[in-house]
Amino acid sequence: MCFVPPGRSAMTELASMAVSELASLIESRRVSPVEIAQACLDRIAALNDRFNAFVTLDEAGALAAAKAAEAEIVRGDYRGPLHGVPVAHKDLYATAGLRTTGGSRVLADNIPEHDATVVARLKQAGMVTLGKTNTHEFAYGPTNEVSLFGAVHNPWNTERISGGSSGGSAAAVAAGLVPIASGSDTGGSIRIPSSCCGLTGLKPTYGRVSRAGILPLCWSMDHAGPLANSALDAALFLRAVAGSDPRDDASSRAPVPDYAALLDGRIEGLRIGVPRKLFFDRADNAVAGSVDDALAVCVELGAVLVPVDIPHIEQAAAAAMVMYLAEATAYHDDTLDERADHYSEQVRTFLELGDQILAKDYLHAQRYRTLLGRTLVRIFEHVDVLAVPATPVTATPIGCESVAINGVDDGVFGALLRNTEPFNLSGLPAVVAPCGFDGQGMPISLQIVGPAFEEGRILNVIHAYQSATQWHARRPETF
Amino acid sequence: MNKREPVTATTVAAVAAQNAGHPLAADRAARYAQSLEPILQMVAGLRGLPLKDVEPAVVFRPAGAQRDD
Repeated sequence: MCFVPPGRSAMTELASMAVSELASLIESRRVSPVEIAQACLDRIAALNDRFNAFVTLDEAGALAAAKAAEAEIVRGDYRGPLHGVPVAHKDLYATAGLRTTGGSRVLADNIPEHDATVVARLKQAGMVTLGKTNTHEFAYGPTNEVSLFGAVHNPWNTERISGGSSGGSAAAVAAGLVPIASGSDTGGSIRIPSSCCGLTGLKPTYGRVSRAGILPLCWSMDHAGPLANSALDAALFLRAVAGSDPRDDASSRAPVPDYAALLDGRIEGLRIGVPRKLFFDRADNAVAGSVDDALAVCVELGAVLVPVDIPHIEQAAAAAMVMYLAEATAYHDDTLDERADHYSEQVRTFLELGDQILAKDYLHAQRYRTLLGRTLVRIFEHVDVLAVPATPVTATPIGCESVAINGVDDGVFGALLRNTEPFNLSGLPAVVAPCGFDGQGMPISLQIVGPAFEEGRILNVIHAYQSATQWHARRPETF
Repeated sequence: MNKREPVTATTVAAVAAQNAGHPLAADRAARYAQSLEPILQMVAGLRGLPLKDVEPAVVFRPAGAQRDD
């Protein structure tokens, strides 16, 4: 049996479909992986200049992989729902034979010999790698304005930031250039761009997904995960990449469930903890209002809201700052010594500031992480998940260093990171998803946080919400 | 909480050159001092937390030891 060629209009829609939709078409042989890959490549050729999302393309490799997938499927060797589906990788992930720069002049000519574990596992699942996506230099910033390749532009408004540091992945998925992409998250770098671009972004539990082959920013806070169009797509990606890896000492041996099978969309009786302090109180009114509206939908679906307080949460930003400054500077110590002028001014400044952090303050920050972790474990004895705004503000204009939140000026970096970095410090899983738009038409997102290794639970909350609403199905005008 | 004096360009330059081994030009040291002061004020909050019996989150594990997930 052969693949049935789609009509022209169907071809134009392929690039914008969710992974789960493409999987159904591929498995039933209504569409070939080659046609899907070509549709994405055509769309990238037509639109990428607007967004600066992709920085390296592997057109020949992608089409070869798609043809191989097609042949396997035709002969009955279907590997599963990712087989033949295109994917893009943040340019922080090592890709064998394909340039991997970290968005920096320091690695402008770096061509790795081996794939990152996530890349390898997705290839094993049959995914087709299209290329690499833009990143804030070495993932050291939440705006994606600073990169060897220039700023990423938000598909909802190209004068706005994409958010970062996985901004190229976010813009690529939001613009329908690729159905799903990988990212990394040290202070919010999957969830912030997902929030800014209206996507579902998952930061799994620390250790759930191997970091091997991903350029580190901060070893103890780095997480790998997907930027996707839905909770279901994120679940499919996670199942393929999660699990123990001898190349990553932090990787967990906890069993990997079939996350998609856990998404029954039922949240009756689910206790949703709502910490207002910091997370809502310092969010833009439009953002807090939309997240409250989303929680009202969850209540209609049977969930129960429980007010909670997280003591000392206001110190999370200081602890995270110390972690970034100390660990990133340690990682870049040699290169900074030899080629400081190869870094952007912004990232060089962060790295050289890291030299000024005292060892005792690094350890105080690590002690704070213990304190925060214990606090959250106690809170999760009384609630099943936490819900907060993903980011306190929507995507800001490119080039702005400060933003007014309800009339009070705040730094853009600090504001973007505020609601996400506590869960890098704690290592707990967190997922964001769109739940509305502000007055300028920019996406607003909800964040759901769970206990360690409860990715299935938090994805199911978002799946229930996405089954009851259509915010995640909205697309920017590029479509 | 211990008392700290505001950081100066001289201190930043000295730490960079004598402790970190990354000497800085004077203008950079002056700029970094301005950036560092608010960071150190944030860090002062960490030093004031009730951490007396709290160990750092990163705990030594002998190589080859089994992890308990």
